[in-house]
Amino acid sequence: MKTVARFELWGRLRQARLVTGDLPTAPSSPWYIRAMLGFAGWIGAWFILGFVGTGFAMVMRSAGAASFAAILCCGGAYAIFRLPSKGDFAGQFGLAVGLAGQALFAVAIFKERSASISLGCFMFFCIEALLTVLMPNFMHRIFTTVAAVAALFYASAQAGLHGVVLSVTAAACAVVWRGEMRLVARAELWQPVGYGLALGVLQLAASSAAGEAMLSGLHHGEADWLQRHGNDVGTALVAVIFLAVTVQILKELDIEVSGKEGIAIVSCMALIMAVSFPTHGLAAAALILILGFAGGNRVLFGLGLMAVASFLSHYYYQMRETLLIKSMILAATGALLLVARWALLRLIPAKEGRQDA
Amino acid sequence: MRIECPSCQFAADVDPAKVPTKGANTKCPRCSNVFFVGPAEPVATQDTSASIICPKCGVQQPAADSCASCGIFYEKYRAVQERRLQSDAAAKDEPATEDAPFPDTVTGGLAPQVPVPLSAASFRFGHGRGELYKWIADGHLAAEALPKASRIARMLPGRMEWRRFLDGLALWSGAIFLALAVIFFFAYNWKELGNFTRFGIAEVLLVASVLASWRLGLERTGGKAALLAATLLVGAFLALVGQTYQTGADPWELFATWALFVLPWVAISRFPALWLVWLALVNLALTLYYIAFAGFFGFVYGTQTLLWTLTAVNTVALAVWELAATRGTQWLTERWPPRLIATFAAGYFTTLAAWGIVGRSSAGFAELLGYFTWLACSYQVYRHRIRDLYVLALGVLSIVCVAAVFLGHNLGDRDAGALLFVGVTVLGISAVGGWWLRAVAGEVES
Repeated sequence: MKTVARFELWGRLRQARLVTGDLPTAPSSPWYIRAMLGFAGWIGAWFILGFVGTGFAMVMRSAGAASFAAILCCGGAYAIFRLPSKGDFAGQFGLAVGLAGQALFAVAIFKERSASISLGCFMFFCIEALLTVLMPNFMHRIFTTVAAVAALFYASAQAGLHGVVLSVTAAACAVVWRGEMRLVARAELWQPVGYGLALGVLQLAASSAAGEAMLSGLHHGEADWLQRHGNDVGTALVAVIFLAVTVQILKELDIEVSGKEGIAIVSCMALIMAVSFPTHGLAAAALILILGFAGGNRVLFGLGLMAVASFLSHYYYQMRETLLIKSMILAATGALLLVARWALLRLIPAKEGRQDA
Repeated sequence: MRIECPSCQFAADVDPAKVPTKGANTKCPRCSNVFFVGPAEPVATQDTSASIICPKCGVQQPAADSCASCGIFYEKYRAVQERRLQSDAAAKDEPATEDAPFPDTVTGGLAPQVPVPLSAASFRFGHGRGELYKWIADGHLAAEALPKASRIARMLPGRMEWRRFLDGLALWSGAIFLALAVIFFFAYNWKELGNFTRFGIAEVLLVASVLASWRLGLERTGGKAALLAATLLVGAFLALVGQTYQTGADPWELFATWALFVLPWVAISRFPALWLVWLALVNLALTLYYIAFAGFFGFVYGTQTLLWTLTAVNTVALAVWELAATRGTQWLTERWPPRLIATFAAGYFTTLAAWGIVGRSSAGFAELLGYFTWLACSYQVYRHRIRDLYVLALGVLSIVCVAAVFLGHNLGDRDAGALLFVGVTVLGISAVGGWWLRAVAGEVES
């Protein structure tokens, strides 16, 4: 944010008696600096893991030793994050050591539980969820949330509940981002969890778009109905969550859901969700997109836009329908979107007075 | 900043960012008096003169007569800017107020008789979000005040902003979905339909899109969306030609011809997204070309040559874009397109440098020399001329990656200590990079 704009915003807040004194000198850190540090920490973690694996070979051979090393790494990372005055290097080192610790937990679990992938994944989910709560680091929390979501997805795939996990993740993501004003007192926890959930939703939606074949290795014997249609269930539930978020936004904008405008908007959204249903992943991407716009969050909004483009591109290679059927689905969705736009422009006149969200 | 009419003393709050760098003449919404407003007067905080922002270089500093950073005297700077603007207005022989976007800014676009402070005017998506959260985290702002602070910052969309957003979203996605539907349709290669019908459909849709774009006008969003759809439909049409007449053309030729055919209207469109689509087509054509010929001339057209070519093409595209933007081309002022091109160019050059390090038997020296030259040029441009922190962060990430590959390749297979050394070094570089980026953030963002 430009310094002049910071001054101006600070001045307005001071006029409204929300702040006092002079503008703080340190500006906020842009998202791409955090992303750069997170990615570099991830690269560093591989070398730290290599160091542990090479230097202490027994760690990789025994589940007990791996667990011990993992606890040491995560404990060390926690201690670094809790340092009263830590510099950038300490933060980066803590992140890398923490990530290496997680990898060692995975080694320990899957060495011990190699027969039961679901149980192993569930144990890994529990550890990641615990680390998310305990580790006081923004990037570390994003990594653990994404890992926890993925672990829960694979843990539930055997029972055919992976679609439900997708929808639960989407619902949690919506709750966090729609309720961020209430959760701001613990923003250091909920913000990274929110970003992790958003990435997790897109990650699971991508698995869903890839089709059931990807998860077929996890099933024993012939797949039942839920296992075969888990992705459809997930996409349908995400569409329902999308509609629930739409209704909540309408209420916030003082638009009666049972009124003419409300019914038209919700019906239009429902119809678009129904028609675009076979384009798996699109509903999840659209959800992230509107959550980003509603919260004035450019990072989330950009993530949603990129996801929409990616799922559309991937649709060409999806093997469920023929290209002719896909073409019809896209044409119907496109036409519906243009009709919806035409209706929207007539339903809400452009010169209506401004109301705040 | 607060502006006061020297004639009737009507005053209004105005966003300093909206005032042109040279200042502007503005018309009082109450008495219609025209007077000059310049950013030249140092912007002081509301009730203290403890710190100011230099109107020329933007650096925040303690109040004084001159800037400690660039050395200008504020009063002289303001007088020069005022004289320059007045002489410009006289030379053009136009009413002075037409130069100034100020009346709209002050009145929020409403009737001139109704003075509305700027603070009630404009929605700025996500504006100040990071700052508000930081101020809450640092204890400057109460957590429960966030909803009110968000409204004051105008970062959240209201009813009309949602309308605009959904309008754009439905229009763009509708146009893209329909164009993709046509591409998928022809990719299906429905033989039963007959050539005449298939060509008829493709040509009618293509002509209809171009006509719609021409009729709606390229300055309107609808016209741009129609032109984007037409650009995608050209690809469908060319694919249909290849499919029907079995031309024997390689895939790269399809994309190359596609890029060539749409170039005329891309060139006149003044539409950044369409230029990006065109650049993507060029990238795709080049990649497919090298894939097609690598089998025959692996030595000449290997991966390295492909990476060199893609890096060169995208760097040239980026340079041309930035040059045109800095020379005042209005439709190129958005930062996201050059940042996207810079991301790809940095990605290609980082891969090239890594390739050079790993496969050193070929020409690793050339790759690294090229990479560091490119890095130095990028630093010079984005640190001192254009000042884009995003591209600088990309550069730091690229250095981290190349360092990791270099050290990992040379030391990684030795022992555990070497791996720890590599890991710590990579983390150290990224930490120093993060520290440096934060240090320049204030300067760059001012």
